[in-house]
Amino acid sequence: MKKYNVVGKSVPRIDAWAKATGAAKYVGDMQRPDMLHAKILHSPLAHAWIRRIDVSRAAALPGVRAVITYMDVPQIPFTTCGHPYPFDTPKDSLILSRHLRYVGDPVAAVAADTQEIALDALELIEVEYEELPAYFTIDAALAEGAVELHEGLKNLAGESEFEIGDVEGAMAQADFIIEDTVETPIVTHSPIEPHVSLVELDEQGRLVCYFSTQVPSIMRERLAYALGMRMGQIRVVKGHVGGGFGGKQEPIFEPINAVLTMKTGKPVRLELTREECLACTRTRHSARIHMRTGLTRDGKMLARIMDIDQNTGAYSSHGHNVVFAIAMAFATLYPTPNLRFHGRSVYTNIPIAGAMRAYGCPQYAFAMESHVEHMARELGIDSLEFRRKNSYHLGDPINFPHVSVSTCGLQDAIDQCEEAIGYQAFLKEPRSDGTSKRGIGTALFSYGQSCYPHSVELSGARVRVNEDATATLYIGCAEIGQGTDTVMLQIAAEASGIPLADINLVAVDTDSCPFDPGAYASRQTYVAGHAVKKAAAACKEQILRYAVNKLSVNYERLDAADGWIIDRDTDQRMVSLKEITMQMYYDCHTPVTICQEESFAPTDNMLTFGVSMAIVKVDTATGKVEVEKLVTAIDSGRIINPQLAMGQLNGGNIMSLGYGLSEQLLIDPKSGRVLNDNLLDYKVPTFADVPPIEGYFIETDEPSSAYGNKSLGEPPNIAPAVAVRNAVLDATGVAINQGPLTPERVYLALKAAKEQEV
Amino acid sequence: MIEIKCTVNGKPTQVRIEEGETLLDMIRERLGLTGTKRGCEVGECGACTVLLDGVPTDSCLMLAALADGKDILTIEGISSGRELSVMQQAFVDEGAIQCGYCTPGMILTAHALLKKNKNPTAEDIKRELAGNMCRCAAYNQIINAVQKAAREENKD
Repeated sequence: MKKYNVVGKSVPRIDAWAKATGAAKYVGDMQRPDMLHAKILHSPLAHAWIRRIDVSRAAALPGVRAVITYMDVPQIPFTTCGHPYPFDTPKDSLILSRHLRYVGDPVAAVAADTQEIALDALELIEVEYEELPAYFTIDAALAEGAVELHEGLKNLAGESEFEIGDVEGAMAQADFIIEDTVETPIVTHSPIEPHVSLVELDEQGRLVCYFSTQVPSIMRERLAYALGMRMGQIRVVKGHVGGGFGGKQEPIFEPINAVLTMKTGKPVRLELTREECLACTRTRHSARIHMRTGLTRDGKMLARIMDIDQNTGAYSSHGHNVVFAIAMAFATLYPTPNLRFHGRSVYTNIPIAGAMRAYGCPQYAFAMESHVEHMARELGIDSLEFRRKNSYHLGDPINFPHVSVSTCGLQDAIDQCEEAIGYQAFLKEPRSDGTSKRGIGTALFSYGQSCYPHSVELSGARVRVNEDATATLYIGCAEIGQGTDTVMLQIAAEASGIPLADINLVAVDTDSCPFDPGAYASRQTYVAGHAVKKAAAACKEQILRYAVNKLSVNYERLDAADGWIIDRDTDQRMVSLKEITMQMYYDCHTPVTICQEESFAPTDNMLTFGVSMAIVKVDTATGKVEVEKLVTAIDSGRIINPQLAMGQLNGGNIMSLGYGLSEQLLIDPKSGRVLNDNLLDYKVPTFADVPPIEGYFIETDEPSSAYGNKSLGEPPNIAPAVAVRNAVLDATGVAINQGPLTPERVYLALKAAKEQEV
Repeated sequence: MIEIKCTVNGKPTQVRIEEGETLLDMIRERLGLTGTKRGCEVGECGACTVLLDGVPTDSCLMLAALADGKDILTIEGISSGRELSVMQQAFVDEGAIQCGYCTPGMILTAHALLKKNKNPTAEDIKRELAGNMCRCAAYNQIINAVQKAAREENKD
């Protein structure tokens, strides 16, 4: 593979100093002298109509500057999901509505001089509710005669299906038919930085919005739509973001803050509490997934059927787009010739499910890899061998439009994991010691590079080279902790020949940065990386073409690296970039600026592949599962920054262990209220829960990307949960088809299995 | 309003506060030291950790009035100028920083750990830092960083 100067190196994060010293300013750290504080009154009922609301006592409280209800905001139906541009997502949301659809739906909002006054004012708002029937499960919402949450939609936010080949014919030929139903929990993103915004008016009266967001461009577009404003009247600025994981990928309550700011004319900060973050921002959909697969005697999958119902909560948000992502994974990782897929996204009166890291694939994989394990065991085939036999190999047909595979390190990844975890040796080790039982489990995964073809994909980038050959990179893609800013600078340095330390970054300010939809779908390095490469390369070409005249050599002989123009023939430095760029700006008769903007829009989607394997120890007396070791190998193409990449692998893996073992947002079946809206009862992994993790990159060289790279941020968050579930099955012989595998659930499953034996 | 006297990052400081104000609000809103982060306000996440007389403390759970006469160290007091402390540098070197929101609390807790245990094992670090959550889950990198800092400090 070709060697690069900056790409492929573990360059330290460019924001590391600021974050290590506390100098990094997040939105909640910003102060304005006359800043107001906002608080929201949330619905106490799961489904209700506001019969009467009186804010006069709240508004009269000294220090209160504005109180708003549905009567004070534009009643323009919109969808909070900004990608794709909402052609096919129901416009089911309002900034504030008279119709409340879950416990937590905003009823009113207050801006006041202090948070304390704002909270006091909330208590003075008088509301008379008319309670409506509420449904918390898919079955209840779809039952005959159920009241519609959104008029005319029959409680369906989306439904889709496809069939490839002849599924019935192939099932009739099958020697075995295996069937499973798997249920996955509701989980939340829980970034340590709460959702927070600061909105103010500039001298022209434009809205300036400091958002903790993954999607600055989309926030501006959605805000303009919901407020009935022109986009030019809104400026969105993104600085440091304290984690997103999909939860900051759409407007939540930011439009409320914009209205309060316009109403008061003052800067307003709206910072949610941890309880609000957990109970009324966004979640990952819970799902019920039914699978049926027909196989030959020697273990070849002939036909597969998947039926998925996901609970999207009170509003569609990303809703059915998540099912489209699941459909792509279903069709591609195991290239079975006959496929049938059916999915529904169902409205219920629970918190809104949206985008979350790996967008449907954790749910899909938890179901599918449980099902695959079932097949291997039923047929008596080693589970690694069974997966090798049926999973994607380079050259296999792709049963999905606009997906193509030119690099696939999946089989190498399986080999790597098998060796690193000591699979063969483990099979011979003793498994049982009193109440303690050990087991090993495997799960495969695949993931796309962007939302294409379901949604348009486009990123812009601009590079401006200064007189002295320092430069500024302007991008619209979003650093949210994953390392995007650093990686984009590496790409700009590699493609321009300007040293990384000489390039500044502007990201993101919608007034000055090019369009980019933002951080999701693990798309940025693939899509925006290409745009950055093109813009930086265009600057280099402009400089080299100018240098041709000065140096009297052919253009083809010239290159640039590390601040110098290089003779390709001799590899010698000829002249510093600075000497040439200074002449370009100050050439008295034909001066030029050096500034290039480029964009990139992929016309195909590629796949990233990988595998996770886990060894667990189950205490059968208590149901506690301890992960002894977790190994993941992933083909993310060439790695731009190994240290940052390993951070994504580790972080995604650990978040997935939370999904598999401890995390579940619990909804009270009577009231629809979230029972565990705090970080003691909603259990994200802590230091105490982290096993030894080994990560391996199987580096292929993807020709369609800027530097051979493929997606990386989300894929490591897919497989560990179900690898652990499969390891528990291996250890105990009990298949648990509902996550997470808490001690309680494991204990009860083992007990039930034992009782069945007797 | 009452007035308290304390030492903040080595500087004798007088602050006028409300009786019911938390130490977190005093540090962030009155002293402008926003490196101390607000994460949950109920002592669950550890993002607001400061060292109070050298002991890691959730500043969101403590009344500012109780800091009267105490020595407070925040992340802003750990380094001098552009130069990072040994612990901060180790966090940078080991890739232990991602979104960065938990980082100040992590670094302060780790700093306090090395004051009482010069050679912490991975288990020691896990136990001591268990009250600091990192949703990016850079836990293993943080363990490496603390051990690297320990090695560096023991060299001197």
